[in-house]
Amino acid sequence: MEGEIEASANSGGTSDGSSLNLAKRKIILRDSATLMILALATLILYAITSFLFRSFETRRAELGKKYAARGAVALRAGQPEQAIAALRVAQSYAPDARTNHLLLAEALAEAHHTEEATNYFLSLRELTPADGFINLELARMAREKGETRQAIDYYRAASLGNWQGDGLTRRREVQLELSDYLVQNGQRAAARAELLVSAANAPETGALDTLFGDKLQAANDPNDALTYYQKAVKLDRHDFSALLKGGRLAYAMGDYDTADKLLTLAPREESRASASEPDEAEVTSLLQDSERIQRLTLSKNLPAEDRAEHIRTAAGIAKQRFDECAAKFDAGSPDAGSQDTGSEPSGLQSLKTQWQTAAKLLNRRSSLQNAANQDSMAQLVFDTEIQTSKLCGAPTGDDALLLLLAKSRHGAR
Amino acid sequence: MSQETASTEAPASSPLNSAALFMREERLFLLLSIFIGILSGLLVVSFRMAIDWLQVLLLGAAPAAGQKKLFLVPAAIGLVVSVLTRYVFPGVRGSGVNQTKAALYIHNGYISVRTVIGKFFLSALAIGSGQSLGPEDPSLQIGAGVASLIGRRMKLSRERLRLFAPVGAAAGLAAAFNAPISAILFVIEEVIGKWSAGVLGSIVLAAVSSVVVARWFWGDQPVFRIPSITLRDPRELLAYSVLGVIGGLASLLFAKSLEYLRPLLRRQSQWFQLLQPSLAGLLVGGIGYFGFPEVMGAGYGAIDQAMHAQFAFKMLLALGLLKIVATTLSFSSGTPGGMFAPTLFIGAMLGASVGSYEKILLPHLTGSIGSYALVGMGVLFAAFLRAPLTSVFMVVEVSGNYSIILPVILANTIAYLISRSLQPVPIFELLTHQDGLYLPSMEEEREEHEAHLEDAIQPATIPIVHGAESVWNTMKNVEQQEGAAAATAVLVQCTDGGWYAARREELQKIFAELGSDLSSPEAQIPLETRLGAERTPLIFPDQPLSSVLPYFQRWPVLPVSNRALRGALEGILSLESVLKSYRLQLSGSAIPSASTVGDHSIST
Repeated sequence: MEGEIEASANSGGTSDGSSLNLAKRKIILRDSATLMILALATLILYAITSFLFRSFETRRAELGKKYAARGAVALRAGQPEQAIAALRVAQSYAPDARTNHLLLAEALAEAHHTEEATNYFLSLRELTPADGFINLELARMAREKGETRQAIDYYRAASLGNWQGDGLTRRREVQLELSDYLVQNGQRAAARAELLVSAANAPETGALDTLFGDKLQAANDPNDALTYYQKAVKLDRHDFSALLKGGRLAYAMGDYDTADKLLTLAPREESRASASEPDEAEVTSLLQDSERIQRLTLSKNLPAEDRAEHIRTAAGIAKQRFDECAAKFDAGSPDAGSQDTGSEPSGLQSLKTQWQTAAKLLNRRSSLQNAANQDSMAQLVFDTEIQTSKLCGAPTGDDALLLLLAKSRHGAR
Repeated sequence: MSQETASTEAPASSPLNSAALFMREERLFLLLSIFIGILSGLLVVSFRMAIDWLQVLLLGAAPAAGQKKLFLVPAAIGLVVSVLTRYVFPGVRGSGVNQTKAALYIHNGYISVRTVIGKFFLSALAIGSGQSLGPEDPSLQIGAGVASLIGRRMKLSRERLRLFAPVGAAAGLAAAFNAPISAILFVIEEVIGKWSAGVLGSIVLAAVSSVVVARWFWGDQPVFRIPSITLRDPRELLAYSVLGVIGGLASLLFAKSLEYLRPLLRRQSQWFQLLQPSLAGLLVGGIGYFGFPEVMGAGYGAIDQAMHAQFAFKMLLALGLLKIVATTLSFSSGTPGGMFAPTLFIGAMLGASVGSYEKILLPHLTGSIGSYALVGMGVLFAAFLRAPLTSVFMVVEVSGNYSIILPVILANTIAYLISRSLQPVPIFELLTHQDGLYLPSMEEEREEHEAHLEDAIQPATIPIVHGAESVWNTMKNVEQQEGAAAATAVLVQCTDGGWYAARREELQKIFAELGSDLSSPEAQIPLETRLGAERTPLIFPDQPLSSVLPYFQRWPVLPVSNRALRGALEGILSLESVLKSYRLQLSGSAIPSASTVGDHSIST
């Protein structure tokens, strides 16, 4: 070749202008023709490759779908290992199918391949960092691994992230899950804040209000919880669950009036037919207790007459409880307490003295009209119930209710 | 292959001169590079498609352990491939890298169409049937074959035709990896061996064109996707260093296995050689049948799974070691197919296993298992294929993740150094030696010490005179200088900053013409005027030694100047000192240091 080029160079030196032009033209023509053929060959090869590629891709997509469906079914059926195998095959045929990636990652998480699933979700998160589902799954896995800080961060990212379908509902679910996790980790204030934000954005339905009531109660916020139960009742006066939970909470909070109001509504409603037997029994019991407590209450808010009457009744009950307890000690009962078996403890002796003094007050009807006397009498009743519960065991009946009042008053103080 | 020779013709009986033909080729070269890139890209896409199709057809859509076809199919197809390789396509054995180098250095860039067709179909059959080989090296040879074919059809000169082979190789590899930079670097690092501006433009054009075609079909996403890495603690690099050490040792094991088994199998009888691909298929299939189907084929799916931490530590280690066994069997049997993908597979598995283990030991490390797998790929690539620069860019390109660069550089360098010290002969060179060929070793060429002037420089012991002096004064001056009588040459420092090295005879002739007449006008002429305008060439200590050899025909000695101070003399060179330096280099002796002669310069 080189020799030929040299030869052509030599001949070039001797040829005239026309033969040079002719040679140039021939080479240009030949090169153009070759390039045209090359371009044509490229187009033909492109057409063939495109056709084959399309057919190949279609087949791959079919296989991808087939195995993805198989994996999804296995996952739903609670067979994550089978789902993993099928989804891996699906992924090899449809590597860009995001659903397959998510399903596979989910299957790995289900099968407790936490590390694998975490890495997988992290790589997916690289592509869509604001995806709610991915962040939620990462939060769950961080939670499983005990990485509290990261779990909370992922939960928050999930609650603010993008969701397919009903985003509001999904975000609320994430917030509720986060609040549960926060409660579980003792971060009740953070949980309460999360719940209040979520509740503020939630639509007003009885079920949701009840749910928020439950969660707020778990987050140590009984006041807000009671508010949400009451909201649920306001929306639906037949809501047995809200009535029961609200009544129970109000009773526990010492708000017997509210408890009574809520619980009074509950048994009258037809919807209670759907309630379970234990719930119904509880409502009845709570209602009876609430009503009885309201008859026994020694609140200063009562009219003086009524309060005097209540104190007289309560004093009778407490005195009887005291006598029974003291008698046990007098008899040397082994059940009477561990510290002073056979002899009255000093607490009882003090009460005995007080009751002796109080007997005069009780005998004189007019003396209980005095507010100071009422207070001292009420105090004696409460002290008696508290002391006897310590020395003679847990009371029952009215004594138990009086003890409840005593404790709530003590707590209030 | 060896019997094939270039059969190109120049434009028939063209009266154009060689300059015009050169210009024509120059222009065509760039244009054809684009065509080579596009055609190579299309062929590589088809090649990869053929492999995937054949895999589905032969092994089923979901090959799994326990399926009998896993070892029956590779064995049967191995026999078919073996027969076709022996009787129809004898040039398709091996990976394709050495064959392309042979085309470049032995066959003037000639690769036959039959070889390209054979490489395409037989490699696809072998890899699709589960042989543990990869598609990248065959893609490289297919690209080179396309380039060779186009060059021949365009009736390019032999020189151009030879250059087309690496251009096509880069295009083929770029499309196969979807990584243009790595392909360009690999071809320069491993095939051409040097940066050449003339061919670089064409290589880049071809590689970019082929990648554009590949991405047109496959999309532009990186081959592997891993989370970005944040190196919070520099101590974490120690963990990657461990990976570098393990990778270096693993590459040694892999290379030694091939070094032992390949010639052993080639020494067997012809009949047994014919059965070897089938037996290799049976054994590789057996590995798949008994629980490790991931080892079969190129294994990209398994690499992806390893990167996403879908394998446990022991499984990763087992897969890495079994892949070494399987690839050694498949490749040594003479089955056509490449070693790039298996190398990446082994690296990914070892990397992921090291990552998993280090995660257990040091759970606070921030690097994911995927990042270790990715670094592992680069490590094996650097250590086994001995392409350190390509390995770094390859990892960055296939992951599209620059954050990995520091661990990759560190681990790759460690692995490369270990491999080089324990296995002095690189794998591609080893294979060519086994085939009875002696192609240039690019690693050796890269590290070859080129002698420089500073290696031969000597102190200026000959008389030095100033050119501005009159001829009479110079004569007296030379006579008074000690040892001047024995000197064969005199250095004249001219006022224009240049030097003139005069032979003794030349000066004596001038002095003789002067006679003893001090008062004559000739005696007062400055010497440099008498010597004329010619000066010794301006040379510096860092120039190649070979560059000064032609000057000794004219000059007895050559003054070596200082680059910072023109006219300042670093020393002198004589033909004897240059030859002595070459002799020392050949005998491996230490080259004398320039520091021993550096003090003899004179200042102007």
